[in-house]
Amino acid sequence: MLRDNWGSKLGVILAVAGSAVGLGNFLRFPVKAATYGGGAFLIPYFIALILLAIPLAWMEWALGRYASIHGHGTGPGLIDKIFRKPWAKYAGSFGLFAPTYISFYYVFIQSWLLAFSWYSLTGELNQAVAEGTISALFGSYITLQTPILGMPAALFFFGLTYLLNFGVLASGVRKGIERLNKIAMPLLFLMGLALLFRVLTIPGIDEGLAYMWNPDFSALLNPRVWIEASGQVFFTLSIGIAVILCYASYVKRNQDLVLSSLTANATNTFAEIIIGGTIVVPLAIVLYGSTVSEVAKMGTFGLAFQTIPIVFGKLPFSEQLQSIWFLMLFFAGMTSAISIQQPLISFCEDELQIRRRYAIIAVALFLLTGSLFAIFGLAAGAVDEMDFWGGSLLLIVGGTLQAFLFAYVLRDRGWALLLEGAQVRIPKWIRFVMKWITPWYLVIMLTAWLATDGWKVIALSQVDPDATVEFLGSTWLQTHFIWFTRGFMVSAALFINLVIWYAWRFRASKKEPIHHTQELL
Amino acid sequence: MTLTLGGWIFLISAWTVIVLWNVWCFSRVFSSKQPSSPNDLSEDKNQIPVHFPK
Repeated sequence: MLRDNWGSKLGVILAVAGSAVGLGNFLRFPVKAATYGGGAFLIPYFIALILLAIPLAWMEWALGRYASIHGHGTGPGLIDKIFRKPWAKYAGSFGLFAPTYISFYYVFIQSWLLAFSWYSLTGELNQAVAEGTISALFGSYITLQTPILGMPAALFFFGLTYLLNFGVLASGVRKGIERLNKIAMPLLFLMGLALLFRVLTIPGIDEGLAYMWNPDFSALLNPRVWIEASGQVFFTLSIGIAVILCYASYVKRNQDLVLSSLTANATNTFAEIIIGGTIVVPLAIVLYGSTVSEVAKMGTFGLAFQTIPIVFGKLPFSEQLQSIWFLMLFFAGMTSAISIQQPLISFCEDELQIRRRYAIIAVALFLLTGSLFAIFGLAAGAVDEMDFWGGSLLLIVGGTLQAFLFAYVLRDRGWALLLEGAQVRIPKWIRFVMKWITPWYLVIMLTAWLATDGWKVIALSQVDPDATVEFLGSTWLQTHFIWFTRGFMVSAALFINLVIWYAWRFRASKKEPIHHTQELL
Repeated sequence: MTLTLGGWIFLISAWTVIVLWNVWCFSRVFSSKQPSSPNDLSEDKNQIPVHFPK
């Protein structure tokens, strides 16, 4: 079975950039920047970009190439080939956990964006803004109480989004993912630039920009600012969860990785700082009358689904602006969602040697169980828990492991693969950075994050032991439900390992080599 | 609160750096030679065993 390839360099760049550009660019970054030093936040941000994010992205691209040489595109195959020990493939399953847990809830959130695009086009959103009921509309929607065609609208749009995503994935890497990104990414940027232009032409917007850009240099003395900037750079680039690794495994050996990675990073940074940094916070401050701390308290979803529609409601052509806003976020969400679903499909194709269409069905059904858990357990905190493990902890741990794997295990082999076909030269000092700074920077970041936030969540120390939540009509102690969610995620991890065991047993039972690499030898 | 001189400097500098970074990258991407055919497996070194330098 031959593995698919990207059709063009631009295709893979836009796909990786599409994976990286998501809600965090437009909602998380501006709040962090405004809260932690304004313009001065960009100093630790750019330092982290150079010492942490760009080197780590290169490492992940190189690991993807290493995997592809052996006909793999995900963690189990990669780690198995590097260490060649019986345990290695199971250790590599770690690389599939984060995409799985994030996929469980991400498509549901992506579907909210599609629904709100629809509501903004039909005028229902603007009406809710005028009547002051947008919070009720949002709350009713996500708790499955808003009907459409005789069923909960949230389930209808979730189903539609699910079909859209897997429809794109079913067409393959080149004809599906690449084609989608070549259409969605330029559209996303056009919409972002249209909103940017509109925001910059609002009278008095410089007052809002002041909160984003006036530098507070005293913030640089606060270690928290450096941790937050490093975390933001790390989260924004989709590194550490083996998504880039999977995408890179579809790049041919004679093709450049270095420039592609750098260009994808540049594209993501454009979306984050120029577009993301100009829209949300200045708008909320100037037109909504909020302070920065109030904006921070609104949270990602509060800002995206409630505050910004109200703000656009105060401007001419509000319905169109709301539509552009939600469609832009929907495209950002879709390109990210398919990137986190692809590794599981690659795993099925590469390791189980099944056709893509069967891989799609298997993965869609597997992820659907987790998505239903997330949908019905949303109010009880299931999504928060999945996001913590998949979108925070495993992300940083995964990035740290990748850095050590590249710098201390692959060493020269990793460099040789990264530089093969490179169209731009990597300065020698970057090699020093990638060996001695990036991995240890990540260890410090992981330790600092666990000490400040992470451990509190793991140990449930911020949860009221008497708090209760509702799940499927019954009342649970919140701590019990969190442990139940963790048990569900562990079950998913065990299932993945069971499939790995079967896949390797199946491969061993084949008399003839099955990987395309070996077919031609 | 209005945008101070420091704020303007940070805003313009950051935007300029990012725009130039993008222009530099994309100009090299578009000026590079694309593969003759995405399906041409004869050019695909993925199919060849690899010997790494020690």
